[in-house]
Amino acid sequence: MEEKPTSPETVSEKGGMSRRRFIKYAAIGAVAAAGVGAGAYYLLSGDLLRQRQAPLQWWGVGTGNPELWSGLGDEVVFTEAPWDPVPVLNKMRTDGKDQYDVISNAGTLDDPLFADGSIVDFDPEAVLPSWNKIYPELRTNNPTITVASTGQIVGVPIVQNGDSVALLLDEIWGPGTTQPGQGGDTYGLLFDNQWAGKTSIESGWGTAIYKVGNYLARNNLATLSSLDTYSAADLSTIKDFMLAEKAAGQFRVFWSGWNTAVSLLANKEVVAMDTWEPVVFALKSQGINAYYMDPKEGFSLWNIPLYLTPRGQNVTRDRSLRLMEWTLQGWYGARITTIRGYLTATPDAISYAQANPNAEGGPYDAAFIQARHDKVKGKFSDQVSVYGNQSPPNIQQYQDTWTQVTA
Amino acid sequence: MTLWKILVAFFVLYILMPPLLLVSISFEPSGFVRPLTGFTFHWYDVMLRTRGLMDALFKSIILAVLTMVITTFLALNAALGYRKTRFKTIVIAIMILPIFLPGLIQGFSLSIVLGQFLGMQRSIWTELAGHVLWALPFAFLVILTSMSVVRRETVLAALDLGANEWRAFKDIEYPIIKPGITSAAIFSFVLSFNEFSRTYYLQGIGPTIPTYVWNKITVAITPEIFALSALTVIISLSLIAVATVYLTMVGRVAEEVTKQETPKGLRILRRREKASTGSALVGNQ
Amino acid sequence: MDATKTSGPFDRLAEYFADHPRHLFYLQILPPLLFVVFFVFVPLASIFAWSFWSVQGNRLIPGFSTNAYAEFLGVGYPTWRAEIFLKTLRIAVSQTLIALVVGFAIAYFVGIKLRGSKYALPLLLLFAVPFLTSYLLRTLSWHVVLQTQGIINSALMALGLIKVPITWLIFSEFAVHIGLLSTYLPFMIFPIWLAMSRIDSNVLAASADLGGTPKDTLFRVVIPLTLPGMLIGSIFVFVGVLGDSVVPQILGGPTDGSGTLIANLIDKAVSGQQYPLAAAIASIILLTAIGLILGWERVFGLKKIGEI
Repeated sequence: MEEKPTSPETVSEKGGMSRRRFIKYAAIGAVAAAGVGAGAYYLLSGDLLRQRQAPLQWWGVGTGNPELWSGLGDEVVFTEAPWDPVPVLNKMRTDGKDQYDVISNAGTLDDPLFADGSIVDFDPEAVLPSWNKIYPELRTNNPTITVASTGQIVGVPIVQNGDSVALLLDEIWGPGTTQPGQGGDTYGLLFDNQWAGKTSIESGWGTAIYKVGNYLARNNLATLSSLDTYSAADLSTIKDFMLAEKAAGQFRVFWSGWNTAVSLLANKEVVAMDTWEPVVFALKSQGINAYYMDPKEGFSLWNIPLYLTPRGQNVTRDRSLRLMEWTLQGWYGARITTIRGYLTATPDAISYAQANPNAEGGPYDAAFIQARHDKVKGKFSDQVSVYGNQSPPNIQQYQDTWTQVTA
Repeated sequence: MTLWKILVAFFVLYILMPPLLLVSISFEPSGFVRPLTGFTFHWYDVMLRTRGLMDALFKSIILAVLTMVITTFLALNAALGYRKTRFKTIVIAIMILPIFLPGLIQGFSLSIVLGQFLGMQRSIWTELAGHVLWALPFAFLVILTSMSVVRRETVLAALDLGANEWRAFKDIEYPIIKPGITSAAIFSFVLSFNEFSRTYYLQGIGPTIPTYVWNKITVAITPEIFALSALTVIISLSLIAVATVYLTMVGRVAEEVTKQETPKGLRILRRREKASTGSALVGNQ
Repeated sequence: MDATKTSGPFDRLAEYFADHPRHLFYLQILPPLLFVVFFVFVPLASIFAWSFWSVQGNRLIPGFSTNAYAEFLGVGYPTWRAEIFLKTLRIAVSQTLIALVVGFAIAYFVGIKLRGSKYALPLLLLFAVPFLTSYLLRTLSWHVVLQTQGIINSALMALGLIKVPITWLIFSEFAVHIGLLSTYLPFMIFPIWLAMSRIDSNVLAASADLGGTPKDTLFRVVIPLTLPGMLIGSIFVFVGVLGDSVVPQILGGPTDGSGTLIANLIDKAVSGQQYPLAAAIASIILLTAIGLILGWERVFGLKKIGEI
């Protein structure tokens, strides 16, 4: 071993050097121990030791939080899927078929998904015991679970709602207002000069564009060829209208994302915003006087059905079908309706809440759930609300229109 | 000098504002993005119970470690090879080319090439490729910089004395460029941990932290992700504080000892200190 | 001790390479190069190709058509996309200049004024802390500061400096710049600091000894020597802004059109299955970037980076 030459530096550093080395080794030791500990914890709490089966893979639009699910008796990994149809179709077409067991995406995607072979016909009526308990208006004549060309039913309708506008009652009609006042029942509020610079529209066209179309058509401000699938001319009309409003400074921002939506209203950046109903739920739970509009022009309807993939059919059939059955039952329905206000598939949600008001994730109020179910069913049958097509044939034109509107 | 300090302090605050705000939001009871209206640890509790989040964290760390090791190794070799070649311009141009590609372009083109034309499934290996690609130019430049401190004559002297290339590297160069290699490794880790656009298009079955956040943030209220971010901020700030205190302590010890030297030795020591700490990535190593 | 005595497992390998230096060279340089070439050039070429193809039924079909470029540049089509491209370029350039000035100042402080100080490294590390947090969340958190009831407005109103909150702090180009700077400033600081740390203290001392004021030293010694670092930092920032789709979405707004920049257009084109359009936009961006490299080579010579 070479002798270190004696020099001022090494003499003065000798004490510091060994202390430094000690601390370095101690730090490395600590990190290594932490790493081993974390790895062990992860393995011990993970799939390897818990069960020999791999968990079910559910890819869907956010209604899930599996660690809070009760009574399923199986392990599910829920991965968030985008709302946009194109990434969904592409992913399923490539590796999604073999990665996921069940998927739940925007309704009306069933036709392209089925055509691609990304989902299968598993005859839900025959294999799901709770199928016939589903509200009739949801399981019959429902284009979002029926393949148009053959009439096969390939999906299970699990959540649905109709979207409109969230309002801050205090800001618009004065503190302490409990019901919307004048002008509070029309989409026109979003375009009202009085609130210029204090309204917001979503930056994605999914539900927003159909609200605008309904507004224009039903107030005779424009003629549209169809209310659920727009032609190029319709899109042009809508675009011109929106661009004019934008140029006049009507919109504060085009929002995207849950956190932005909630924050805009919670911080009073805007007073009226086209968005999803759970935003209002979240605001009210924090004591903010928010209200979800009942527009006379009708709601923008959507639903999210559950579909079975080839992997679900061939590899995990029993477990996947059991998962589907479970979403039709009481706990899931009660929980979703309670936290989001959506309509779930069967009235089991109501009877479950009545029997188990303090079940996990509760408390559950049966009367509230009943009221929500009735209300949303009303939206679907009110003759003015529109079920917008999520994958229209001219989707690129939709995309172009809305991109230009929100640019 | 005070003006400088104020200026820099302002910008340090500016840069740290978002992370500090994340810490604030993580304690906000409503979970909304707004100034604190209360205080709660609730979201930290949810974070620990959220399986998906912990999985994503684990995956992010694994990817980052792999990226760190592979990128540093590749960058080191590239830098060593670069010095020997005559075609320096071409090599440099190729090595820094990825910097010129915006992440989303890189990601979506690569995903289509791998998917539609090579039929390769997206997986952790495709993500790893994306991350290494992203970190490689940075690591390469950092190591190259630290190598420029090594004087050619020193290496030649070692070779003349009979050392083979490996020994020359290990005993002469490596100790000098070690700070550079460490920095490159840290850079690679951090860049990979936070990488989003490429990963988004290249991801296999499980999300990393950035893609997990992206997925959740569009449709769901999930303040637990703020808790996770806040935790990383608190941990890294604490580590920096500890390192500063440690360096202060070491410095003080060195000062104590040198004070016992003669005034001449003291002057020499100070001058050497200034010269050496000024020209390489600092380490009191 | 005799340095020729071999010991350790690598020395036999070292002997082999001592006899075949070319092999070592290829082994060292080829893997990284090939990696980059495959993963960068192949996608680049593909993008150029696809920009001329068309889409049918969700698939890219080979062909030749300049339709996508026309649509993007507004030739025979509305020009709004081209306008967004120009706007993005403008924002990228101004952002780069701002980052350059601020980043240089900070790097100068840390690299020159704080030279030898034990606070230099921790200070630098502080600038790296944000990188461990999610980019999305970081950008979102600016809302707390900039919004109508945010920190800045509340402070100004509490101090009595304004009566009505300032609305253009958020959802405007101002907010976009604030967001971009907070993200890309570290990218500018690190390369410049790297370059500065290379400057030998003796050189600085010599400049002072020869009668130069600090300002002289700055302009005639420090800046020329850190030029490569400044250039690299500028590239990081410029390309970063061109590829950024998050900040405009979260902090931009419709009033001055800052809510959609070129990266958002690519995103939306991909979401709408308009792959040739996305490829065309990407190609134009890449051409801009390549133009930068060539310009750099012409003016400064790329080799200088190696001497950062």
